[in-house]
Amino acid sequence: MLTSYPLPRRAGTKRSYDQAIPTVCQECPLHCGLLAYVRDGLIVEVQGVEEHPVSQGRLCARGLACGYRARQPERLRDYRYRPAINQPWQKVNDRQQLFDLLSQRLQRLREQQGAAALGIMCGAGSGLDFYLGALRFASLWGTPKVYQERLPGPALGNLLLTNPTAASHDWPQTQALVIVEADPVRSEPLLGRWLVAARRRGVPVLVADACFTATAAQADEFLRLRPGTGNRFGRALLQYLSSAGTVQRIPEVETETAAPVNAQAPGVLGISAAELSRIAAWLAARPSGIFVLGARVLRQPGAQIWPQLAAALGWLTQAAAGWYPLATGLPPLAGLPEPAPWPTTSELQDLGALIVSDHALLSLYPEIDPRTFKPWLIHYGAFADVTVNLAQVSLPAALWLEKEGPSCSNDRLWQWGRQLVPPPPACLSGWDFWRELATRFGWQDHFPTAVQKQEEYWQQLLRAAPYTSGVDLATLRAGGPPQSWPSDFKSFREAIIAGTAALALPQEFPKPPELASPEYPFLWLTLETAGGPESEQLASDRPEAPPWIQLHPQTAAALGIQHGELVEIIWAAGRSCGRAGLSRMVPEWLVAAPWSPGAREVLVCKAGQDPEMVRRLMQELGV
Amino acid sequence: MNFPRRRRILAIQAADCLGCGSCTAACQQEHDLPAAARPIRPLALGPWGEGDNLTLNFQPVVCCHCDRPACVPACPTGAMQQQENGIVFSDPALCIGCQTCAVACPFGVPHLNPATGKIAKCDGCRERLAQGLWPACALACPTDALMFAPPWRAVAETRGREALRIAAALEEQRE
Repeated sequence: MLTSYPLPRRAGTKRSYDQAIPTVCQECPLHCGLLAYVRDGLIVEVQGVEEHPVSQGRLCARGLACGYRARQPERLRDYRYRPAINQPWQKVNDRQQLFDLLSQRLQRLREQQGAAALGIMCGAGSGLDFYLGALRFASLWGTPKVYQERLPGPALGNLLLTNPTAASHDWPQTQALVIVEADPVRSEPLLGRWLVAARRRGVPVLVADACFTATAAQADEFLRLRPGTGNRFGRALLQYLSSAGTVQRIPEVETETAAPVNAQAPGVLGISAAELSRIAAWLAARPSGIFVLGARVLRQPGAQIWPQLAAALGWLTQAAAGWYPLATGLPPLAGLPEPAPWPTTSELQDLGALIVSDHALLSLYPEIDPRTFKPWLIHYGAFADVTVNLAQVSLPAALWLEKEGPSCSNDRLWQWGRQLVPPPPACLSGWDFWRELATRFGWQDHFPTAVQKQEEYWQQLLRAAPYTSGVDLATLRAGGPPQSWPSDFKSFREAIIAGTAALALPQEFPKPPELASPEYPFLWLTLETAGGPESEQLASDRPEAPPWIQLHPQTAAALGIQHGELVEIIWAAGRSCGRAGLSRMVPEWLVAAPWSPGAREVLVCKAGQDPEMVRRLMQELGV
Repeated sequence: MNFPRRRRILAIQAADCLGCGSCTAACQQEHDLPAAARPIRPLALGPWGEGDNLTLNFQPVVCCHCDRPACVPACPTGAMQQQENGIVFSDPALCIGCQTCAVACPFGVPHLNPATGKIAKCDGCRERLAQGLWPACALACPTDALMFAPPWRAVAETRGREALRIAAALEEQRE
């Protein structure tokens, strides 16, 4: 047995400071421990908390830069309004005036279209206080349409409860890591620590994705899937294992009305049937393993196939095994309405008004065409992103380091986030935003200002459910260590495994994605970046710079496109332009960018080039 | 040159680098540098290969603090200096931003801080070291690809990690 002793670390700062405040970094859902040194109300240095169970004193670049981010000149600091999205923004100096306008418009909407015409979309970055406030406001208002980015809907929400998920520190203890349509090294960089630890212990890592990513660079094997086929890949694996008799036979999986998924593998998934069977056999030979699933997989219908597959492989009964959904971890809260299922794009268009925090809208609905978006949109966020281009009201938000409250991480850890610095004058916390709005309707008593009162309400919600009843917020607030839910995970897991909850096969699966037609020979992949879809300044403030798109160098060479050159992107409903970023991370038939044109199939050509010539060229090249 | 017995080095285990940029951000925070000045940065090597059989590696690039640094005698104002413990640093009070050191350095490490017009290069976090603290970059590195330790300990750590890899590979083979 090999034993290694960690190097003795010496953390601290050379700078003078008034306070060293330990808190929770909420830049991503991993929620690492963060120690901020503060002097005269300014953060002078940021480090990791050495005792933190997940990050163990380390911090990623985003966590380290949180103080700079709060001071960025691009930050939204004003209330803005415009009568229509094609008109310029007007600054509103008086907060009362803007909230009066907002409440009048919402009241009118309620009278004309009913309470259910209002939808609320809570982004992961706006904090739990915004989500809690939204739930309270929505119950008073009478709309069930509250969507939380980290609760992908009731189907998956219940599965998180009934199928114990693995934790990040389980990764080095397992026998296989299968990462599907996710890039945790970029989206939650501290997960890279556990990935490297797993690799050091010889855990084989398989990454299945459309794009070669930083995570794929660490993998033993990379499998190129067609974009958006992650869940069908899971189903194909289960179907293969079931029909081969490797796992217990599941007739519902074997008999599918359409052609079996594994027979469609080359066209639908982008991998050959032989490759699929090889992967399936490899998985069946592993005594335990963890499926790591990205947000793109979880938000598609059919994501329930993964715990089903883990159960069929016998992984759910093993320690340090099962599945690890990224960007989740929030428990369904007892005493509150069930999380509403995510609306379809057309259902979204039927809403009268939509309050969106952070970049939730376009990270969840990248296919929305801004020109045809109908609902009246109110944006609440700290930075302008593409959502702002669709909004008519923009309210600046306080960042997580400017407010106090509980947080719940991807590893199901409850922690207490402290206020490090005060927010800029106009920036509201999520709770204050809802209180301002509720006051206009006479509901101010439901939104107490004191943090203690908010804590009491949170505690009441957590106590109401058996799985979160052991979480004590007062201890967390007093500086206690993180507490996990369910409080007794071992017995919870054993009870689940003993068969108290049966796994149900997913009822619906996404349609196979269209294959690129000769007319539009490239598939588009919207990349999820650290801050969500590409940030951009308010349209009226700055002319839009052409965004980068990733193109394979061979494709670019065939089309005569140089790195950095202006390219045109053409799709069935429109066209746009961008700058070519040559990268071998994408295959020849794919283009990727952290924004979306609202189409899956596109044509890319050099600015001024004849699109017909490009089509002919692509056909000749067989792309 | 005589080095003190308690000398410590920054050892780089490039195989464990994820290219996350934590080291760069920690260094910039420590030295109040703008985004364009990066005394330490992970360099992406790749992706190399054909089709889907690709490899991508990251190599953290930082000043080597050479035993006989070319930049020190090249500096016309004496701003570039070497401490007794081997750390090579540029004194901003003396630096005139002529970049002679950058030309002299065989690795092209020193570069200009556009905000001050003076050289920004790794100073080994000498002020932190004087207080007995670790350098900012090694402290932030999520995967311990940057190790700060006495040379014998860094070598032992590297050997230990390699041994662990070999043991894991043998175990895999046995299965």
